[in-house]
Amino acid sequence: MKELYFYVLFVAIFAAQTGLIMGGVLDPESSYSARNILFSVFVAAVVIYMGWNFSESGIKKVAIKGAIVAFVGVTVITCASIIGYTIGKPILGVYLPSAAYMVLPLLYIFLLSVILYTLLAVLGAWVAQRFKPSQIKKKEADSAKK
Amino acid sequence: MTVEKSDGKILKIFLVIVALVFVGALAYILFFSGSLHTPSFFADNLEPSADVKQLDSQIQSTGPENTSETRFAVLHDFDEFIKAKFKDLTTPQDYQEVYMLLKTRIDRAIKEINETSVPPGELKLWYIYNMGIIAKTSDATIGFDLAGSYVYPSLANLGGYVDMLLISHIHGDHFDKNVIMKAKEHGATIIIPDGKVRVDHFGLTPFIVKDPNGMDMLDAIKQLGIDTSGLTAIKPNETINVKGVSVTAFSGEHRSPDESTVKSLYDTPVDWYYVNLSGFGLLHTGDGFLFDNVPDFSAKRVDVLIIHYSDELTCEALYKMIPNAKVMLPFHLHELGHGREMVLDGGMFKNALDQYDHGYLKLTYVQPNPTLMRYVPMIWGESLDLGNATQ
Repeated sequence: MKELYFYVLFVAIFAAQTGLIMGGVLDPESSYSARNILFSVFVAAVVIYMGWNFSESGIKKVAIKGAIVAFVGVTVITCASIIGYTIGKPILGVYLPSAAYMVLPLLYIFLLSVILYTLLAVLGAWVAQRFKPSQIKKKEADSAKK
Repeated sequence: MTVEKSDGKILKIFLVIVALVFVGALAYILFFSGSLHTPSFFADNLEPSADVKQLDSQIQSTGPENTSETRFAVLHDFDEFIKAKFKDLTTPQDYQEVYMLLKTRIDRAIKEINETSVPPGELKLWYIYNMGIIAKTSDATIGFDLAGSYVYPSLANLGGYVDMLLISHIHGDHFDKNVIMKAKEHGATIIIPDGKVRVDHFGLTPFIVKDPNGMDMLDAIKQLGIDTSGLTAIKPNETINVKGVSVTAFSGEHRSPDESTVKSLYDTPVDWYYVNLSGFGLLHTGDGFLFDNVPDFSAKRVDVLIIHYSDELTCEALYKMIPNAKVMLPFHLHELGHGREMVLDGGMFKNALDQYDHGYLKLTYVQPNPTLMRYVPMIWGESLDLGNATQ
């Protein structure tokens, strides 16, 4: 699967998440409700799969892809938060003295997401390098050459 | 190879677009978000808990005119409710029940204000939140410092029921852009204090502070991203007459909690407003306390003196300044935006009740004790018939 497709997929996933928050199906970002945790597990699984899928490109490149996913995610959440403020639906779910304060939780989400998604993507790549059949074959071929 | 190159190019374009959107959104939030509404954390159909219902019914059973021990107990119970249920305004869980109580009481008040027709010669008051109060006569309905939509967003609708909105100063717990928006839609006259000012920042929070070499108040408010059309800035000691209501502004000093650098941020123009509404005199002090030249209110009829309760010394000073006031209303209590610590420290009825003696103002070093001035602590959404209160 092409790298771009994954990023587009994540735009769709985060747009769906914020859409569901606006629709009242999911709770705002700050809530640790069962539904939100389930959704987070789903996102984590897709990030791990992305790491698995791109394991051939090496751990470092996969880590960068994980960070890009975090960036894409927080961009969607930022736009959704502005829309939420405009139509009166909370996305972040934290009290802010003014809308300008939105940048603080958004930066917090960004930093946390970069760390988390980078680690998850690396985890996917690491697991793939040990258990993915194509990677095992590649390793065997490399060691046979040596 | 060509396909891979083209894919790489598309990917780069995609990432550049995402980066531009992100930077653009952050810039919008930082520089152009002044007019955005505060969204509500809570669903519209949320039901009040048993505790909320019980306290609300207790409050309903004793009005502010009631001077019995039962009323005293209700005020005490209200304090205890806030103490137990209010953690912070950060997440919904921190204040859901307090929100529900405020919602229940404000929704009822809005209905009453809308449906009540006050007979000529009478005045009815509704306490809203913090320093916010609505006064209604047969001629007009006016509001002072209506704010609090950051706790209960629909409180902003009150702006749609007033003919005149008076704002003592430009701090969030007195100046609420959501209320102002509704008041504008309703065609209300909106009055703010005038003065030369500049905009300072404390973190991301802008503060309008006094500055003799600064800009006009309306220009400063524009800098906050707020539309100033329909706002009337009045100068100290200026009197204006609008729709049969006479308003005089007296410029005071904003009280400062300490002498730190934050002091300068609080040093904003703040007005006392003396209003003649259908013959009734109302004096609202906002957060203003000190004066360079103390105004003379001795010749003015002051039926209601609305104060920012701070301590006994404040009450005593105000009593001596306006001894002819018939009723003193101690407000600026339970203002949740100040945070739990400040509310519990000095913003509770238990503090204001030190000066309460069966409905009269009690001051340690003033005779008679209690004084002859009525002293009426009020709970969110309660109403007071001035005719009864001043008898």
